[in-house]
Amino acid sequence: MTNAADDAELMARVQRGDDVALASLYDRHGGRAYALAFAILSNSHDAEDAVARAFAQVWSGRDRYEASQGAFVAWFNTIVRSRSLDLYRSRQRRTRAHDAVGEDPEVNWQFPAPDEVVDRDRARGRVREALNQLPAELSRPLALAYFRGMSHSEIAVALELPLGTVKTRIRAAMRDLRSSLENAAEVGVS
Amino acid sequence: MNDQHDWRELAAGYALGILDADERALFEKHLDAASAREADELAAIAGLLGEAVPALTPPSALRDRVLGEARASRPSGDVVEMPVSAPARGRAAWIPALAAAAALVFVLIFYDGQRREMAGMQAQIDGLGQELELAEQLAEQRRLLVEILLDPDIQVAVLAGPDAPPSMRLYWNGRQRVALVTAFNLDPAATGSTYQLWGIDTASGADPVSLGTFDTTAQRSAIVALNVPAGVTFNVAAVTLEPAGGSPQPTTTPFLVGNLSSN
Repeated sequence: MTNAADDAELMARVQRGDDVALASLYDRHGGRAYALAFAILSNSHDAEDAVARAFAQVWSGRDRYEASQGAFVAWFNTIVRSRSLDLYRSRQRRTRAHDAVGEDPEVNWQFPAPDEVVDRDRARGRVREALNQLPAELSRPLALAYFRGMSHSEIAVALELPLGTVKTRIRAAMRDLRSSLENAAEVGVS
Repeated sequence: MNDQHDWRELAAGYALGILDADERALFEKHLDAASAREADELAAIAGLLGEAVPALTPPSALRDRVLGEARASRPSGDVVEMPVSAPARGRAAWIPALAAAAALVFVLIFYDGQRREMAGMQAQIDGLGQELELAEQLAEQRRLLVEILLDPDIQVAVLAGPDAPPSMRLYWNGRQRVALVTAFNLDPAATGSTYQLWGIDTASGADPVSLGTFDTTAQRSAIVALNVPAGVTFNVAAVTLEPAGGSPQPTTTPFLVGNLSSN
């Protein structure tokens, strides 16, 4: 059974109120969810809060999940990122320690190259590889959008680029990723 | 910002959820089939980007917290668990593909140009459908409970502790292999823990066998139906407090114990 099918079966059980299945989903995805939250928040306590909130949303909103609308991991990652950005923005409002526009312009996709990573799940490796293939001029604005939730205009200020250039580069980055992943699927890389 | 080129540039930002109010309004105002398809495709890609982050080991307490909060947020009223009840209806077939491929296939196949216009109506239909499904599930559960209890061969165990409350009854239907448990005056298990029911065959001297886990509601009661695997025999039932998710064998002393007897 594929990982996606495992997730689908577990999520179907969660939808029947099976908290043991939720525990299994946590065991499969908790580590990556925590890593994503930590990448956004840079704080273990906040990352824990974000992951807890994400799983709470999975549990309370389980009836709204439709397997036909895509892979569980894509749905779940979106939830984890959203809850993490909620906390990130809330923390910014609370502390006012930094100007959001000027903060962390160096955040980027600084992950090991695929051949340096022992990862049995090649789908994850493919995403990582596709990101690593992006030129810095595309990956930097994308990283600020993804990990900081910064708007086009905020990114334009942070990177000192024209607003139109930021929009174009973020769209180009996403389209390049789509193309890379699509090509990888077509040639049977799995 | 008013020409077509500009608003089409917003598709990726829309998918990433970073548009400000004006940009979002502009994009949605011009939204057509092509741009909606692109936004859906890019949203699927955005959903996969988190996979690129190498996993970390979260604090062990986080697992207990997640499960404890889930258990605490169960709907009010008695807990009724039917571990092998009928599968949820109306679920579409799962897509057994790699995550990236699945996401891309989805956006190509399931895109519907009129989906956004119908979203409101669909939400109402979904809401009514969920209410109906819940009512059907409750009716089915009650029918099963009655069927279990009316079996002439039903066996009953009264479980009690050394002091007064809490109390518990176990109705064992060997024909259907269902253990129906009712509990009263029992506080909900502490966060990160669960109650676990054990069956013990004193004649064989075998280790206790888990019959399942359960928890009580804020009203300190529970009605739980547990499906027991074939081959499991027991004449004594006991309840322990275990870590969330249950244990292979009891790790604490049973606080409720009772012998099974014919009704």
